[in-house]
Amino acid sequence: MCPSPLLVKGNPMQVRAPNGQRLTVDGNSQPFIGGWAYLIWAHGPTGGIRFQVVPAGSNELLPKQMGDWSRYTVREAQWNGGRMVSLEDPEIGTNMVWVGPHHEIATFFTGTGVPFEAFMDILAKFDIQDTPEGLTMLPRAGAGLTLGNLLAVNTIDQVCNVQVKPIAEALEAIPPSTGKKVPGGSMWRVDERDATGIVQTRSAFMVNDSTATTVVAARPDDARFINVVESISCRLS
Amino acid sequence: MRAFLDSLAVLSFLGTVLLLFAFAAMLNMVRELQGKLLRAQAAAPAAPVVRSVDRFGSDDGLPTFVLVVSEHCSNCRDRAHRLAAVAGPGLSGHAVLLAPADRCAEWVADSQVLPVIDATLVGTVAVGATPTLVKYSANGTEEWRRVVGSDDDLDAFLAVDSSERLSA
Repeated sequence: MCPSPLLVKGNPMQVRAPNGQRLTVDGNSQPFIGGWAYLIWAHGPTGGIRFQVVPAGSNELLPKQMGDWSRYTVREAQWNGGRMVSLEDPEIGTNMVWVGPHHEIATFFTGTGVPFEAFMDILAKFDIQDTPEGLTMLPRAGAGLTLGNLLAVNTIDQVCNVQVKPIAEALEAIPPSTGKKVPGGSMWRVDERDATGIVQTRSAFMVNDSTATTVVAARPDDARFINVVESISCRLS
Repeated sequence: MRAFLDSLAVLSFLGTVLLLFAFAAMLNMVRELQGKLLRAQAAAPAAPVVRSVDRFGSDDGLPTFVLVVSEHCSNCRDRAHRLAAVAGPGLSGHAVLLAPADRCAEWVADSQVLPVIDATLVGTVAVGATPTLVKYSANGTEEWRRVVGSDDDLDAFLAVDSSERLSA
């Protein structure tokens, strides 16, 4: 896993989200630990399909490192210049992954013995382009699919987790009160306390004209978390 | 590396949370639809157009199993080795390796598998993914095709016909 040139400390980071939008992260003085991970849905006349787009190799690396690799029945084939991997958990279902040169697309099927053809039929509905700055999967004309519910996730090690959504999909979550002005937009602090009143989870919610961003602190009283909240700005264009 | 994994774990966690709360209803709907899709595909095989390749016909009434591979594909090589190991009297049919490059023939050397090196034919058969196993009946008509993801799958596809397998 080579470090991405996009992670240079202090510079604005620009990456491409699966729906083709450009995600620009500015003012962040602490580096992210890896590439962005995305959740996105493709909605069609008969329902929706959820996809994960993550750096190539992630779906295999995680269970290998976590020690539960052996529970999977692994199948593999070649498709469209990339590897196609089926990770079948007999109790949960089957994760199908297409691994491109830089990123990979995964989706989940219930059940076992899921044929690769089912995944290929779905992927064939998208124009998939994988470049170092991001993987885009735009629905082909006539596929009748629209992308939605984008969520982009990244982490600053030991400090916080950053989750970015398009503002249009978070309008109902904006508090009625006036938020504090920060570079990233209007910011509200959200504390979740346990029964004794101690803060269990501290996060900041900030909105601007293009994004709604949640920053979740690793430790509630970490000054580095406050620094991130008061400097970071995430925009989609 | 540890930190990177933590980030992935957070994503998995987020995915779980989304599944549990925000999208629970939608997920159920999707699962149902995916299940229906799979059942529909089982009912109607993925390749509705029946193709015919004369050279994959046979005089003895037995079907021909053609493993279509590509050159730079380690899985293709592994499946070819497996086909070479099981081809012979125990297999109720002929075994062919269809490949675009000469070096693939080495994968089935000294076996009952007939290597057919023909890039044009590979293009005509037009499988979406490799390795794919295609079954031809004795008159050279395609019966079904399936992407082969493991040796176990290859064994299963060789052992039973399509209708038995899909209803299993």
